Amino acid sequence: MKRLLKYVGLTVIVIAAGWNISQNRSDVELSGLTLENVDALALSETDEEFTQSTGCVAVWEDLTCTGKDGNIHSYATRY
Amino acid sequence: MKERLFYLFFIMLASCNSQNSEVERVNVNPEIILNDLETMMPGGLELTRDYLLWTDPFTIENYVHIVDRKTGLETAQAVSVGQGPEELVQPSLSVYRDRDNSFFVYNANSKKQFKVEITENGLSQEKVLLDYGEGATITRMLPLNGGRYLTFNPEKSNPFTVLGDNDSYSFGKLPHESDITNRYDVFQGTVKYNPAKEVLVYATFSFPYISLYKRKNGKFEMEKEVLFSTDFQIIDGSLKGNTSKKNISEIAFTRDYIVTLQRDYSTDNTDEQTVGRNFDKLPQTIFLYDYDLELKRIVHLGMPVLRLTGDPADNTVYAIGLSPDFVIVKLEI
Repeated sequence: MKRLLKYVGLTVIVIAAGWNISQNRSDVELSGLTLENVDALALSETDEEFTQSTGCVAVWEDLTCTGKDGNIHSYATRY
Repeated sequence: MKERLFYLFFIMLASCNSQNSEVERVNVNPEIILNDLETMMPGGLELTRDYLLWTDPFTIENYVHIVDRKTGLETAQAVSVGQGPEELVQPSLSVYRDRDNSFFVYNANSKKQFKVEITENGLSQEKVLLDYGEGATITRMLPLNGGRYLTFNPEKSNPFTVLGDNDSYSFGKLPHESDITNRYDVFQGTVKYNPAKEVLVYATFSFPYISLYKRKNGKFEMEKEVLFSTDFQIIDGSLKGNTSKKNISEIAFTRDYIVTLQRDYSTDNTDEQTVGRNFDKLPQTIFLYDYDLELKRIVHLGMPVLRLTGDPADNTVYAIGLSPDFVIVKLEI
């Protein structure tokens, strides 16, 4: 139950961040990289989806991977 | 008769020398000091004199969470994610071990870093301007004693650089010196500095290697390196290891030990290719090495463990584990 609440909460945050971006684009343009990170890692149904879209493997170690999507992904590796 | 006694003595002596000293394995029940960290995955754990710091890498705000070590209560949060002047796109955390309650937050490849001090009046954040050249693929930055900073670049043959105004210098070596094409992928790892002993330790996640450097007369020199296994090959210029096993994922320092987060494959033969972000499959053991990188003890915590930090002043270890959600635990080793 707690995990479900966390996922719901995170989804709300992401949606709110997206709304905030559109309202404040002239002042603070959140990096597409940041949202790319959150989108790929938080909203992927499976790690396999993340790997398919980025070419990186989601891990828990503090690694970075330059994905085939051109973004740098944290806690991910190509190895 | 004398001859027989001599041979018997020699055999006994040879038997003693040929025996490997058994590494002690112990089970402990660590004390939970903070329950239910609200995060999908804690990114890191560090320690200052009075506070524990844990990070949430998938948040928009409040990247660093500040917890009072004595009470276990969260007292503040710091660092927002973004492109604003006081924000970082992909923050990482380190600490100033020679200052009481300060930490260092950096975005390695955007050349933006902050020093944050925790005071009685709150948090003060100031920019740190470090010049380390263009195009460097740096994966780690950390403060050293005396206001110096160190960077780690897994693509450079001398991967460590101590930054200075006119006296920057690079040192060290990568775990394998062949000219391979995937250095960035295989030689990333954890780099930690113990200012009390002026010791730097580097260990790779995916390659079976650890090294220790000591600062002597102002310069770092390698003291020891250990290659735990030769189970790897170079295929078409790429280094390929045994992907069913991993090496060291976290390093912490205590007074007497270098503490690492490692799976004890002799008792837990989990295939690392099946783990991904399944936190139930995290290793449950920490390895205690002395400062000669000799393994002394393996401690089983009885729970999956994700992050580690330690107090160089004594033998206290803090960890983020799973019980059943993310918790911060404390144990004396």
